[in-house]
Amino acid sequence: MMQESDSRYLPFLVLSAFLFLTAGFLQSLSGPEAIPPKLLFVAAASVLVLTLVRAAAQLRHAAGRVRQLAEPGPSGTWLLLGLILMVAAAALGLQSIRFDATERKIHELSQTSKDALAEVESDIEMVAFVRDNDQLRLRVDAMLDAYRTTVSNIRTRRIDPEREPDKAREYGTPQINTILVRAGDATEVVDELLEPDVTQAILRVEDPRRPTVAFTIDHGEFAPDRPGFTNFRSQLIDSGIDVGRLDSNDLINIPDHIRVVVVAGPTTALLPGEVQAIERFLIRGGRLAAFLDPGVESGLEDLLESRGILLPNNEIIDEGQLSRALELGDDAVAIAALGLADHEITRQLAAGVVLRSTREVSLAPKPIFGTNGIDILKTGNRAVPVEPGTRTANGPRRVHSAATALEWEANGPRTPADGVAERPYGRIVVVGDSDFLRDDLFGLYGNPAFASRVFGWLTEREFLLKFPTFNFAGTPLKVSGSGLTAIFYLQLVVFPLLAFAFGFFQWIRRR
Amino acid sequence: MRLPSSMHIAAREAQGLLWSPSGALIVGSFWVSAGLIFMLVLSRFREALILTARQPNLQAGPAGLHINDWVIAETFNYTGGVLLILFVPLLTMRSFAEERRTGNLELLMSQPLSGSDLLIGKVGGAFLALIGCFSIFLIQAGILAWITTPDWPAALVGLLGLTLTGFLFVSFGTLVSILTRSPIEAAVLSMGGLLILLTGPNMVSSAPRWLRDAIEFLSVESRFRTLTSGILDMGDVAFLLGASLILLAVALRGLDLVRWQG
Repeated sequence: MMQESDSRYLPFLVLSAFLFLTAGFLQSLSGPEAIPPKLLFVAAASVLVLTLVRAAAQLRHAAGRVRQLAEPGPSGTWLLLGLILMVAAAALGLQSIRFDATERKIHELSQTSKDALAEVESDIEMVAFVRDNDQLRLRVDAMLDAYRTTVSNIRTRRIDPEREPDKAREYGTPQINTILVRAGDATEVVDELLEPDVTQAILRVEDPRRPTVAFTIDHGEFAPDRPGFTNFRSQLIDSGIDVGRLDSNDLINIPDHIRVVVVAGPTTALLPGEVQAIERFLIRGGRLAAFLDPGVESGLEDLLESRGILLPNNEIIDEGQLSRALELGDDAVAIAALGLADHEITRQLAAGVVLRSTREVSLAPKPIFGTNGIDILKTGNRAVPVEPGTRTANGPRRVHSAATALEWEANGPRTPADGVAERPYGRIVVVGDSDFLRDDLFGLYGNPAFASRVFGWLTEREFLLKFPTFNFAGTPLKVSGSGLTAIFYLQLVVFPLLAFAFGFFQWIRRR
Repeated sequence: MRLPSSMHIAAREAQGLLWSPSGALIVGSFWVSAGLIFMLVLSRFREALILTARQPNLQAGPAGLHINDWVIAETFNYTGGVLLILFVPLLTMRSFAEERRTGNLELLMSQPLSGSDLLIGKVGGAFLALIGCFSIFLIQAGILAWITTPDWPAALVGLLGLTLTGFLFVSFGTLVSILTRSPIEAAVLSMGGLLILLTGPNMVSSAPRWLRDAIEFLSVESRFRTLTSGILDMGDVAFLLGASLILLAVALRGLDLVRWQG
């Protein structure tokens, strides 16, 4: 509100605004550490402050004139009403009242999620890593909004890792199209961007009990605290897993707190009593990871066969180019990305897996009722099974499986967590090789990611939640190319021309 | 029934804007721009549908590929984010600045009119002209009803968001028009101000948390986008109405100053 003589200050205000905008624009391009945007910010702030100081007298004068001369009118009422509405908007930001007007209800969480998350007390941070121009972005934004507005202590953020690499690095090295869920130190990455998976992840980080993975040790197995497995051990611990040991005495009665029993590379067979103990552990919802090398009777063969996993005593020799190209010896088997199954463990693996001296492991042709399994690592079609030791071929050259994952509903105790019960179910992963966990092979290609996802899957907790079926339907578009052209002319030629013609007519008439 | 004087002014203003050669030029240009945006997002949606049909694993998930997400919301977003910044100042620049420049404002002030009647009339006229520009959306709605099955309630909420944002911008443009003496100056300052209002919050992403929270609260764009995505958030509606009212209250005080300043 300046008089005409005071309009000399306007260019300075505009200059200040321009400098602020340029600084912000430069900062968005060059990152928060860049110096030039900061200098521009300082310059803009300085110009603004100086202008306001120089114009202070005029501003005071203008305000005084308004107070003296204002006619009685509704401005006070409007101002008051406006402020009340702004306060209401702030209040509604804390406890929102919103209605999802979409038929698909894509902006609302299901009642199942609402009930399950009602008791969440920790501060939860959800960060989505999605490209700005990805078609997933809209859905992810809607999902983040739905969680943020349903649960008051959830904060959300979306980062484009390509445009904002610095911000993405603050969260480690996240994969694209994932959501990171964090509560305190507990972190989980969700790669299936669907409500059930995200809700389950929130419940898990809200109650972050570290899972314990125990390694059997009395039959020549390797244990993570033995030399040669330091990388594997570090990875387990870094991913929030407690690592323990099970000697023969412990194995007879496996403690309840142990979630996964690992039998890795035994050189002698487990005793029948120990196998029975593992069987009881599995029945009550325990999980088993078996890394079994060829030519060794592990004692677990019958147990696994009873659950539909076959372990023929042979070794796979892969004569495919990929395996030979590794130059790791005749017994190296490279599982290419194409040989990775569509399973939670292998779905997101970017690189293949390298095994050495590998035993064939596969699901039985007829699965056991109530179990759900899949062969997760498959060789190329030039793999031959041979007898360990003699190397005599005992099967055809074709695709063979080197690892299998199996799960089933169990009858174990249902542990309540935040009023939501956990689903008791057993899981087994059998890999026909233990060498890939050793330091010399562990770093190759997708091996660390594969090991990480095996133990992630085995230690996973799932809560008993029944989600409604989601509506996947989109909308059709019943228009051909020529129809689009017609729409183009209607939109961009016919109607605008009518408006312009009307204006021209008015112009002629006025003249 | 006798209309209040502010309604008379609004009708006269809207007529003056829409029934003039320059008004027709503004409306026609708005229609061309909105048509371009509509064609752009519609073509993009069609390409995405074709791509998805070829590669089913690209299915976008629970929401699928929906016309509301891809075309209607995007048309509103581009209109609110770009077209309103360009066209609202053209509709409001003359409301007071031109009257001051030509000396007509003194004449108007001498009429038995209160300042609020005059302000409501001018704002109402510009707003009605903006609604006239929005009439292209009726044509687009007809086209969409012909070629697909939109989610109309969500689209209406989006239109409400666009209308409320338009009202806020008209209030801002009118305030600037009151405080300036030249329509060109009013238009340029309004465009700059609206640009800052809309894009400013995005430019301070690395500010401290409390500042980001404050700016997020004041962000018009995020509230506007919430509405265009089909969510009727009462907080957003209250914010857009409240901000408009505050701007109008300030504009009325500015008009008082102009009235007595001469």
